[in-house]
Amino acid sequence: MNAVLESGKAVAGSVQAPRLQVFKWLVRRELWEHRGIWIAPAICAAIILFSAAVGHVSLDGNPEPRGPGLVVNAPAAAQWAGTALLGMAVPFYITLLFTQFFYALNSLFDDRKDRSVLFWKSLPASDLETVLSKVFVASVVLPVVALLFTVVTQAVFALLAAVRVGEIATQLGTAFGPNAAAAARAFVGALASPQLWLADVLTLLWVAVGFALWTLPLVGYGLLVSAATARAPFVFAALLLGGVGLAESLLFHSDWFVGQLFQHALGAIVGLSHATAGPAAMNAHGYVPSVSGERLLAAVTSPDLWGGVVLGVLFIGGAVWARRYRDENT
Amino acid sequence: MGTLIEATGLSKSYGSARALDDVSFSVEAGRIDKQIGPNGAGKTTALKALLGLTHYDGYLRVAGLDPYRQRDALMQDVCFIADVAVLPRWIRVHQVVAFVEGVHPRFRAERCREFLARTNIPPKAQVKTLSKGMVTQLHLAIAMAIDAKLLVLDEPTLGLDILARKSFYDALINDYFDESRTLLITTHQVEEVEHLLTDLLFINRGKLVLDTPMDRIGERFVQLITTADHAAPARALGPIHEQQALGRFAFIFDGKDAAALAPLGELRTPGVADLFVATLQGGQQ
Repeated sequence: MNAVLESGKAVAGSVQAPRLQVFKWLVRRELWEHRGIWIAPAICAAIILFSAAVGHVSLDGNPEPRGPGLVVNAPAAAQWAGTALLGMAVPFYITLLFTQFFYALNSLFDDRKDRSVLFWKSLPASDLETVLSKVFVASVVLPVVALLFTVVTQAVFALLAAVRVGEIATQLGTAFGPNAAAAARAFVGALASPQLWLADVLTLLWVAVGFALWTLPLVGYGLLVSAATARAPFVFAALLLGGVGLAESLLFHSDWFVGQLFQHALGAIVGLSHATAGPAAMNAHGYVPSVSGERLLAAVTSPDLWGGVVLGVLFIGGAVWARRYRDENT
Repeated sequence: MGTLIEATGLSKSYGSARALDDVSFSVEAGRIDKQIGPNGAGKTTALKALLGLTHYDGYLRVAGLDPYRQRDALMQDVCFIADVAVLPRWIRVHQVVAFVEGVHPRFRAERCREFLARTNIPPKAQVKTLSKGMVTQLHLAIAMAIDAKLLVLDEPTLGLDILARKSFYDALINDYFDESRTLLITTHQVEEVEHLLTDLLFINRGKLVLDTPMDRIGERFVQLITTADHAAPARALGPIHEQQALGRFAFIFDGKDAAALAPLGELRTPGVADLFVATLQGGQQ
């Protein structure tokens, strides 16, 4: 028998696929399964651009002309343009908050529900690799997709603004006076500045990184519930969070936990508003809206942020453990 | 090297139910082993233990590895199908083939596509649009394209019609099996694979009730076919099983000398199905 075995085909001996390649396929598999990754931001972009394409100025319900008080100059126009662009990112990041959390909540649960978990577990990809591929999608792919959709939406918005500037300026002029028309032209002029776009993209990158870090404990928590719960991961996850918040308020009359929850959910979006809060500044190339460096620095050195990251890593470890050792009674 | 699976005192309980009760067996490389047992007998639990999917008590090594602690390493050498009828519903046929090719170094996509070309499965179809039989065919095509030391199949032909079952077993034996591979199959459809097997394990109520190579069955077990007037003396010799049909009596004896039985009637080697019923009922007495 031994002789036969040794002369047999190259079945003996350990071969392994390169781990990076396995990881790539695991991520690709996530993108096949979760089409919502593209659909949610696409809907968001469609709504914004549709409004930008057909919107017009009307005085209905807004009868107070404000034009005369408006100061139109280059720094102010740069400030408006920067704020408008980054403001467009907010709906994308709010959408992302939901797609990310629901992705995490369902990603390890769905294949347990339809029993295909045994198929996935029959392949030589470890549970650690599987869970990490889901963390990667939730905390890297999804924010990058949101970033790309935001930038494309901003660019199309800027083009629409350039095309429609005459029309809108006339409407504004009629409604609010010549000052408002000049403001609209200055705004569209500022949108053409390359420095504005550089600052915009850098800010969005920064926000994407901040988003991934702030929400890591939420992603980890979602994955842990997803891997461990017997049914209804959303109900379980929501009840547990609500229960902890309620228990704290009853026992200690405080709301630290709920505050933390909001801070982690909205931390990156708040960071976005901080980023645009500074005044526009003159540099060698012209006026660009400044990113408030101090506030951003305060955000990355926040103990709440890093405490959350540590908690997120622990949750992810728990999710790997549950994925590996939970006895699926099929 | 020769022993692929070694289990000693394997036990597993779900609450107070003993799914596996002190089971010991070993499987040599290059064998086709079959675990047979009624529903709920502990077959699937035994497989899950072998594949590191469940915790157990006792000693167990598969390909020299502890399946529970070294599961990741084990999965490089073992291919298993826990439930042939289940694949992710959202995935497309060409996607699942590409995915397995990407993560499994022993998977030969060409071979898989050859198997699939013999079926009516459309390559772009989503699994949820396929019939149950097609999902099974797809799953088996994937498994048979993997060059694994050990292929474990849990109820592989459940839900397939008789033609598909036959073509599956033909393909398994002709295209897949060779001396370097071991197959472990659980089933309760006994007859159709009987002639393929090299070894037999019967499990009932968590206990191993029979563990024998197929070619030893004739030496150990004998079936006596006789008429009513010889029934009483036959019964006196202590058969493990007795069956009466159309006025004829069939007794199965374990470890009895054929010479003593020969005068009582016709002797033959019992079929696996008869042996299965005999040992199971024996175990329940």
